[in-house]
Amino acid sequence: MNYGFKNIILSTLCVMMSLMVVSCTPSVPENAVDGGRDVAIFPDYIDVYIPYNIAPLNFHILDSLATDFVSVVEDKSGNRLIAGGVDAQFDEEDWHAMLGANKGSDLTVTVYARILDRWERYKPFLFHVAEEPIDDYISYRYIEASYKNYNELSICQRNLTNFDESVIISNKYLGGIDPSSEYQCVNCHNYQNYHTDNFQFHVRYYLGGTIIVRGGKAEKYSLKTDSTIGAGVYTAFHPTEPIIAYSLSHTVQTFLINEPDHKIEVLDTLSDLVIYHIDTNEIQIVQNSFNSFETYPSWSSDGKYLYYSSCYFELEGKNTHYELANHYDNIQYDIIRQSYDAKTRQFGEPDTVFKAREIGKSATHARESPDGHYLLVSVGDFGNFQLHHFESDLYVKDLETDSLRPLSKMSAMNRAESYHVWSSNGRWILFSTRREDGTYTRLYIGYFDKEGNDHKAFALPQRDPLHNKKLLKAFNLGEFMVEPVKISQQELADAIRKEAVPAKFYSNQRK
Amino acid sequence: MKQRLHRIISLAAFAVIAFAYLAVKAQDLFYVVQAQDLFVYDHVHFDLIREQPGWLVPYVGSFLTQFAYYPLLGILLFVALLTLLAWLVGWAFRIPSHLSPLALVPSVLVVMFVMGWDYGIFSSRHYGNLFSPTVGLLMTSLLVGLFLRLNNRIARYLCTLLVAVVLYPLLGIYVLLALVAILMADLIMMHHRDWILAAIVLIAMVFVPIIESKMFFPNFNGHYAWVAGLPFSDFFRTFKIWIPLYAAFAVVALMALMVTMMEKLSNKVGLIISGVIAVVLMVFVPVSAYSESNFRTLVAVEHAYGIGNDDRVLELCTAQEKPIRSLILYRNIELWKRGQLLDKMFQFTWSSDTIPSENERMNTFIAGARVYQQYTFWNFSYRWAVERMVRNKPSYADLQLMAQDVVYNHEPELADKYLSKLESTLFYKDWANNQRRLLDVSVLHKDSVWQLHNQICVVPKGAIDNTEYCEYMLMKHFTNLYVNTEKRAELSLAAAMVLGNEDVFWQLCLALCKAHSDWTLPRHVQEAALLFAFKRQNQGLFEQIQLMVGKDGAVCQQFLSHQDLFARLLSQPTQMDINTLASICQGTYWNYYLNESHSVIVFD
Repeated sequence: MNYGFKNIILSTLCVMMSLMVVSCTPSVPENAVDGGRDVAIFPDYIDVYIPYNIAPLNFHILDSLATDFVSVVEDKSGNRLIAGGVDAQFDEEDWHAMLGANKGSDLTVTVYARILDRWERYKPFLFHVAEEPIDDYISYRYIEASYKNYNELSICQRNLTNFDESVIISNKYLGGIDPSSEYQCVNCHNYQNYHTDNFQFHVRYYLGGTIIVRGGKAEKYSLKTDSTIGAGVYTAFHPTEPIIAYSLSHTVQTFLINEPDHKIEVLDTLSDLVIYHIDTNEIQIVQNSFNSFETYPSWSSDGKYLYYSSCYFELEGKNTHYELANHYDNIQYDIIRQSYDAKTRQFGEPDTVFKAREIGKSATHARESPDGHYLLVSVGDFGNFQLHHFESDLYVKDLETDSLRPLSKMSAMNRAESYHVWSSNGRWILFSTRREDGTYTRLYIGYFDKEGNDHKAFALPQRDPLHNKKLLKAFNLGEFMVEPVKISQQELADAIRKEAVPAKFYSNQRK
Repeated sequence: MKQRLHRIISLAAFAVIAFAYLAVKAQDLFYVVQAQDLFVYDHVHFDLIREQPGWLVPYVGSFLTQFAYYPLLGILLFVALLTLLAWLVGWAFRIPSHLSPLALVPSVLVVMFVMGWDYGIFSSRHYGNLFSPTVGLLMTSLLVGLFLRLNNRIARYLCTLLVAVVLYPLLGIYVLLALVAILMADLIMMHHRDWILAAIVLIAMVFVPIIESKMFFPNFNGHYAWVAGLPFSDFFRTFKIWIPLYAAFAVVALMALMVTMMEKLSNKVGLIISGVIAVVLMVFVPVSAYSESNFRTLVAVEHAYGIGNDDRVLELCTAQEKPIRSLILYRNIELWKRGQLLDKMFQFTWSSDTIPSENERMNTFIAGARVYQQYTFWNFSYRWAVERMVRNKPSYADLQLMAQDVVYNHEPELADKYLSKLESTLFYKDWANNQRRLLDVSVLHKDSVWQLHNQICVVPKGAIDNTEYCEYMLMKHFTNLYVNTEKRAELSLAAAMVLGNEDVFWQLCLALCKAHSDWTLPRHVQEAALLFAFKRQNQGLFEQIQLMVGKDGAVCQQFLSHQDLFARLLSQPTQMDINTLASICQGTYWNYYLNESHSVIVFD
């Protein structure tokens, strides 16, 4: 009797739960009429190209008239993913199953809206599922969109196949008992050839130094020597050798009084280029001329060339900041490369691969594709800090044909697109952009197909599609990784708290 | 009945006195602390607060703080919760009715803590500071009260452990405080001392914060594990401010001991002693309150700006005897808005007081964004609002400033971001809706502030400025304005006088006289013209200027009657001359130029 009673209760509960699940799953409105309207969604995922292993592209429907929504993703075999409500949020497992079964194919997305008592169907749009996957991980800096002050900032990693995000290192974690010792800057993380056993990042101010992780072990170094102008800034880990290239810069900010789309200009008053030999703990100068500014080093995929941006500016030398600030719109950078022989540590002569100044532009962040075929750059009107330059767009140079063209489908015109990186298979480009609101930098991912064509980019997917709108912080310095960072925050913090090992200066002449 | 009466009387007396005192003294403070806080219903904001142990306390504190938008409502809520705290302390520690004033002590100390706040409220990094000590102590008292009503020993051990493990992530230090209070109460009130419980409490206090802060709050700095839930980054260098709160903690921890000791006294003596303790502490609240005159004026001014009462701003700023530079700048803005700058700006002191703060640019930090906004420099206003928000935390005040800047700058997507945040709040909805109207360009272009911007913030495309000093930047800009409207002329002349830039002054003055033959020279312009002409030692020019300002006028007569003094002051001034000048020419440009101008432009 007792068992019977329990069974009845359990069965009833099961039925009720099943009913609840069924009643919570939205159904496709059968009697919907064609509204003939395009749907507006945030983020703009309409007709984007996506990798088959990406996390669900949840979106928010922008329609203030409708009271309810149903969004349907359908493949060619008629399989469907359905999400109800103004925020279309798809089940992760079902999403991956559908994308996995539709590599190289298109998915049709149809959004239905209930306006008054009638269901309307918007014009459908497509998710183009590419055949090539994307690297599973990216990392980025998570920071306030600020000027001089900063507070909490961290370097985070994100699993692109789902929404998992974790902190690699946060400045909140580092301080001592005195709060003023908190909030130091952690920046410029860079990995060796997409793997995370070897990587580096900088810590500024309190406990400052450069943390280099090798074979999963972290050490702190002080890269400033008596013969160089400062510690390392922008970074490029050699793809195979234990070498890291750095720019060394003295940076100042200048503020524009009345331009809404250009509030600040960041200038280098000094800027040189060095490489650091990790094994011998030696800093070797690559370029250090007073009147030329070199920055943003980057290795070719085979490690035989070092690319960088370079600008020549005749300085009187009395008040460099004043001189540069008064001519900030004349400071333009070309892309240079120098060959490098790891055995002899010798660099070849500088070779200008993109004469941006000749076309009245400034080119930065040269990144060679993994197959060595293309060179991806940010092109703005002037300066090197394209993050603050609305006019900055992505361009690609075909290194075989020497032709240059804008990535006009991937790159929104005039929305400060910069700091781009190639995925390890060369099919995906991760870049930062201010296309959403002009101020908060967001990460977008675009498809670059085998034929060298670019396609419309999509925002880094978030569980809450309005996440970017609600967030008062920015993402920057995105990097692809094929695996997560394994070293713990505690181990990194321990290394940061140690005394830095001072680097030695390596004289080219000496050798 | 009589016993209950004691309790009711002490609670009612506290509530009435606290409300009256705070209503008179702390309305501005409550409003400003509220404006520096933020409570929005979204996961991003929730995640931000939830990053540290004890997050529930500031979260609830922040929720309650929003009601201080109407300061009296905030004060009412604050006092009601403190009264509840006093009742709960009495209940938790079974304080006999004749000792009931003792239960008021933590509440009075919390009032003392809040009233001791200084300029640090403008650089607070924590949410909900106003209410979180009260919320935390309420939870502590509740836990202690419930625990002391448990009779089973095993249940007490389990509960102690469970409370520590489950509630530390939510309540942080307030759970640790409850554990201490429980241990003290147990050691003192129970006949058989329970060393097992003591061991459990000690182990929990040492290990739970270490383990749980690492486990559940991976980005939290373990150094703060034992103070999590407190605004430990605020008022860090001002230990004095913390004394009342730590005293409140000590009182709660030692309450059982105090009660046990005082119970031995007769009812009457106990009542008198506990009453005296409570009364003395209450009397000490106004004595220990941070009453620096500029701070009180500044919070009153910020409150007045917050509710759009500009007249009150002017009234407050002009009444301040030795203002900080923020107040001088606000004063000049309000005079300028009323067209009174050139007649009144030097009537008030220009010698400024410094802000007792470690932040070397505290004035710019506090007032920079608002000052720039009032002069319609949207980019710079936005910059300083962002700098403050980043350094502290997102707040209603900064979101309002940033939203307004980008609305006027016509950056619709960015404006939407900030306005949406404010629209999701309880009390800033209407303000945000109102601003949203200006996203329509046709409405914006009819807006008076936007039109003012086109008169004031006129610079060539690409113009830059590198100075970090707000006041200097503005003065420099205004002296270089192309003058073709009265608003601009007023600002330019004022800036030329402030900087003592005679060339610009003469250029503008003569141009204006030529353009407007009926122009009556404002008082300070007359003063400056006479002084600058006299300084040139050109008798012809000096007489010409006398005619221009009106030879028989009061200004000219006053100058002529002290001509010798001015001659000395312009050549080799003695301290006596300066003192004489200050006494007979107070409120004139002459006193400013010859005595006070050295203090200008150091607007930090």
